[in-house]
Amino acid sequence: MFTYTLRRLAFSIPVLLAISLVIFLLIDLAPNDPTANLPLTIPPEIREQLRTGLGLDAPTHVRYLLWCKQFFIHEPLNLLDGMMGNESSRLRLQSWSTHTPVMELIAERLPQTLWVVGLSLVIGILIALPLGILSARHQHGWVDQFGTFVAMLGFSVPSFFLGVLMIIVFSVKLGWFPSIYDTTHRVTDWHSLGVQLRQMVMPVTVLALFNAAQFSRFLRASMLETLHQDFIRTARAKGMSEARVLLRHALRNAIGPVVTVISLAIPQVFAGAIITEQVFRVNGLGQLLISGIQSGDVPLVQTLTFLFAVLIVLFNLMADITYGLLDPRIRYD
Amino acid sequence: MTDRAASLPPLHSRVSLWRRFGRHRGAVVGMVVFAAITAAVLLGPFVWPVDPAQIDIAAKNQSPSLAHPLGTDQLGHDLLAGLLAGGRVSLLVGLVAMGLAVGLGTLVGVLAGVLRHWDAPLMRMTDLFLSLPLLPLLLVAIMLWRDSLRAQFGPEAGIFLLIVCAIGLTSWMQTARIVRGEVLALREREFIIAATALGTRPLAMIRRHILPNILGPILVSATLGVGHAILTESALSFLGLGFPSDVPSWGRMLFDGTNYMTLTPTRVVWPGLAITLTVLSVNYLGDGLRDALDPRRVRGAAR
Amino acid sequence: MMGNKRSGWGLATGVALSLLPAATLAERGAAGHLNILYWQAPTILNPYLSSGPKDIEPASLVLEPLARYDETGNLVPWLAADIPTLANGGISDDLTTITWRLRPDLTWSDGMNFTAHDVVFTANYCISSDGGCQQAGKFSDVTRVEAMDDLTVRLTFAAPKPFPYGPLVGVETPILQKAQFEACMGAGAQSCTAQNTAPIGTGPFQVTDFRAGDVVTFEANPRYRDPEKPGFATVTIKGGGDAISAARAVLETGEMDYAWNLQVDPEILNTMADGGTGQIIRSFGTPVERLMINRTNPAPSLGDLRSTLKGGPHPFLTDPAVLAAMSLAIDRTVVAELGYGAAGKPICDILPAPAIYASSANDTCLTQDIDRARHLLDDAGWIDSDGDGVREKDGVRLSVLFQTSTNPVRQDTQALLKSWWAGIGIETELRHIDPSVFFGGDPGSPDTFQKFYADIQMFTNFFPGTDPEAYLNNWTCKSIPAPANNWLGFNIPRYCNADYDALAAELAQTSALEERAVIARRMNDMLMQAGALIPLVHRGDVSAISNTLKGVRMNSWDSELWNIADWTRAK
Repeated sequence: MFTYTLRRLAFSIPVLLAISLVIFLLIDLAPNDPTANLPLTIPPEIREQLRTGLGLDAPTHVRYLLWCKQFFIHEPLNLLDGMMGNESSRLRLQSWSTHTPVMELIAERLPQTLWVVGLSLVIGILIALPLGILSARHQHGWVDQFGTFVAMLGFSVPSFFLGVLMIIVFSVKLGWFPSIYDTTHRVTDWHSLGVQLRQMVMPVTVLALFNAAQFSRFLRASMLETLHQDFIRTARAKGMSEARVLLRHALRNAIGPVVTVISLAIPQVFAGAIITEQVFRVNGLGQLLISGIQSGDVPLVQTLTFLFAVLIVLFNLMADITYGLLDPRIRYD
Repeated sequence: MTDRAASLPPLHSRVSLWRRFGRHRGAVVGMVVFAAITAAVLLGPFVWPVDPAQIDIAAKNQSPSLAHPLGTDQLGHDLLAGLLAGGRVSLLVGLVAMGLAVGLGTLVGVLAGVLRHWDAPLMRMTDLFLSLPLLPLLLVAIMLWRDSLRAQFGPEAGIFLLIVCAIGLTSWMQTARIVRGEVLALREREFIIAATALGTRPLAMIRRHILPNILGPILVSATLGVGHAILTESALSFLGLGFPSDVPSWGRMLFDGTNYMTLTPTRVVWPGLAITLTVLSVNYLGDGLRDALDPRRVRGAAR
Repeated sequence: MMGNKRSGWGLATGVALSLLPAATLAERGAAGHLNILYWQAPTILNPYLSSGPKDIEPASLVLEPLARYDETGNLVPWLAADIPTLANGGISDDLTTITWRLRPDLTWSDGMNFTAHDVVFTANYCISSDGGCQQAGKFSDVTRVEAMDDLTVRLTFAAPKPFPYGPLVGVETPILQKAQFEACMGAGAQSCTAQNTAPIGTGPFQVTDFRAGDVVTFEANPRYRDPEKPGFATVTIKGGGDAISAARAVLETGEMDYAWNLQVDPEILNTMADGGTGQIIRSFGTPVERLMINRTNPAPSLGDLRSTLKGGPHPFLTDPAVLAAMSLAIDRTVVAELGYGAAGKPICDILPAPAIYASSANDTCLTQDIDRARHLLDDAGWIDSDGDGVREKDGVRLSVLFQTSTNPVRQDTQALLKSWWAGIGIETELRHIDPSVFFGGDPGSPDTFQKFYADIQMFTNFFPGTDPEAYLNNWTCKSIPAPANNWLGFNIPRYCNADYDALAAELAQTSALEERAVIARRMNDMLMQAGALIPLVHRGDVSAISNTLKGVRMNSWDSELWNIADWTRAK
């Protein structure tokens, strides 16, 4: 397994380079444009000058190589310099719309995205595990019916609707929670922690419902498969306690699809939640990405998407390793 | 567990398959509801022959009445007519895009799981698709193909093909990864090894031994895929990449209605209910189908 | 944000108590904390690198111009001591120079003196920016900027400039501090992150924290020239979300004090205003929502000649009868009411304001007349001969492709026009395009408003300040977008008329306001009668303010936040 991991990691580098090229070509080909947001009072010649100023007239391969140079060489070296406490003068990756380094933007957005989207993933898993197991244990029982209902609601009620509904009920009518997420809020004591929790309740609920819905359905389905297999009957026949049968034997064999889904969901945490962030003004990475796309900000979108790709490749590798740990019979060649 | 018990029931037991399906109460209800929704959107326009594009400013934002059983929107469009017409779009998009995504995902997943040499390339391709940003992808697709599809199939069918393909081609990856994971685990199980030793050909192996054993996750993917496709279509319209604004769909009605939630609540209730009911009925249908097809339940039922 | 507001109030009480003996209401910072919502979040605070009002208006809390427009469109001196005119000798008789005298004793928020050298630097900063300055158009005719002494600046133009109040006037071109931006000239402009996100200004506030695309916080400038102002001690400008939720935050939850640019269905907005925590304010500038008619042929079969003069005229959209009928079929009152409510007025001109430029020659279009529209088409020989509901003549069907940017109000307007045009036998195919594509200049994209690969398109255009000369020049022959000029140019309808060009040349030579107005009105009428543009709605700006906020004077000619120093909290 160890050599397999090393081989996969080594192989990841050419794969990621290829992915970065494909992403770049795609973003470059896309017709959205950095001058689109300018007011129409700015004359067309100036617009053209601005596009030239951004380097948009250079050939595609030149711009791709420039991005590679800035991302793979300048940024790591700058980071190193920063840690050594040196000033660095290398040209950093700059966002076109904000004229600030892309990495600083990402660092600014990461906390709120991790708080909100990350927490919703954790809560989603915590709800899904018992719900999925119990639903499968008592198929067609009331837990199962309730779980099905909640899951289907979570999957068919979109976040743009649920978010607004929650704001109308809990912010407008009841005044319990703020409808606007304050990213400048600092948690320093119990009171400010309370404020932070209050502003997180609604976005986290919306996202956790969706996550729980998805995870619990896959867990239930594969638990159902597993619970009817011979070794479970054997385990029960041996007089093992039900909890032990469910958790030690069934769950371990049934968790595969859930591992896959969660390993796909973790990178999504870093991609942010575009609509939910928008509805509650969380202004995290999802909002950064969408505003980058809307303003044709190629360096920003390219960097965000590429970092996302790195996470996807890494977490899919981790999923494959986890399969092997859960089921030692799985072999990779 | 023997080899035979783990494969699809032979032809003569298809009748009992139906019987088992019929015994699953949720599945029957799901089927009836789904059939009713399909019938409503197909036949509804004959019963309620109001043009969903008919504008009547004098009757805008109305609550339900005899003239407009579900009320009207901000331009005076009849919402019942819109719901019926929008259902055709949404159901078609939901089912076709889901079929495409699940079909493609299963194909890639099974191939990667069964054929060891294909595993790495296929999974890296999956990684690539997972990391492609959807929005620029759609912008590019529209730029490249909208006009030729419009010339070939007309404006509405052209954009339908574009949307269905876009949704299908960007949502198969999860299914592929799940299926592959299941196949990897399955590959090492005794009955598969036994079947391999007996010289079962790969195709027969996939059809008789592998597919029936990974049906559960596939059906969950399919169920969730319907809802996902219906809602993605609405998100696309919102971003200006969907159907022209005069083609209603459930997702779009729900999206537009969200802003009017406090003014005319029926605008969100009905499309929301339609989507939820569709997803719910497809879910129960899938549940029943899985139970009926599950080879181990044959013994369970006989016991 | 709620927590923030509370702490703001706490601060307000603290300040008020400590100054109690001498306290009057007009104490700097006495009103505490102000929460403003710009749902399109500010991404930079340097107007010369900005991407529109979402950046420029928040920057106006810090940076100020020599003169700006008040809410009635009158020019008022701001950092200048007075407005230069021909009468006071500030403008030379040959109209080629303008001399600004600055207010004495002004300081920057860091304590440095504000001098003419800062003004000269600002102009040069934009002029020599190597294509990075978005406001370069304002300086295009400026040949020299010089400081006559510490408080006098003279700008020289290449040609007579009848209206010389473009550069360094208004919200788009405020004065930057030379000391701060000196290192950011030319190519350096792009990497001056610290300067671009926290410029030092002369305005009532200074930046304390800036997070691009999310939130900006300000505090009162301790060296602001009026010791009693600004009324608020701190300001937060939060971004993100959409217009409807922005309105909700002011009108229903009361979390915010001010929300900008609320283009929302007026019925929703009015319902929210009943929520009781705030009210809607509106003002009118020059924006007009209009249809652009493609006078050239957009048929895909023409290949590279699509929508160009070379590709030939449009098969039917140059027929005056068709254009007149399409305009007559529109009920502009309904369009205005439905999409814009009190912030929209039906209009038949593209020059709606200031009043002196508003023509009344085209007002017949205000009344919808379907019957007359049908007659016009009948008489011109457009008959529905095959009974499919669409008129045709000589094998040409009256079928149009109508595109616009994605925006709920525009899609509603599209639906309305489609149904009216169907009523007079014209078939319409609707299309909406993502604004980042539609308004973008990507030469590879077929969907830009400049390429105009459709028959009709709809959007809003306007002019900044009060002078329409540059705006009217948009429809001269040389401004027609074509492959030869890389599709640059804003003459979207591809209207070309030698008489119109002659009037444009005349306008450039005329300085008397009355005469300029006469010419401008004639140019407007010419465009209207040719049917090159079909105006629909004169759009106002809509914002929402909290009931407790006092002193707001909503302004469409300048920054909406132009007088934020005067804003206070009602007791």
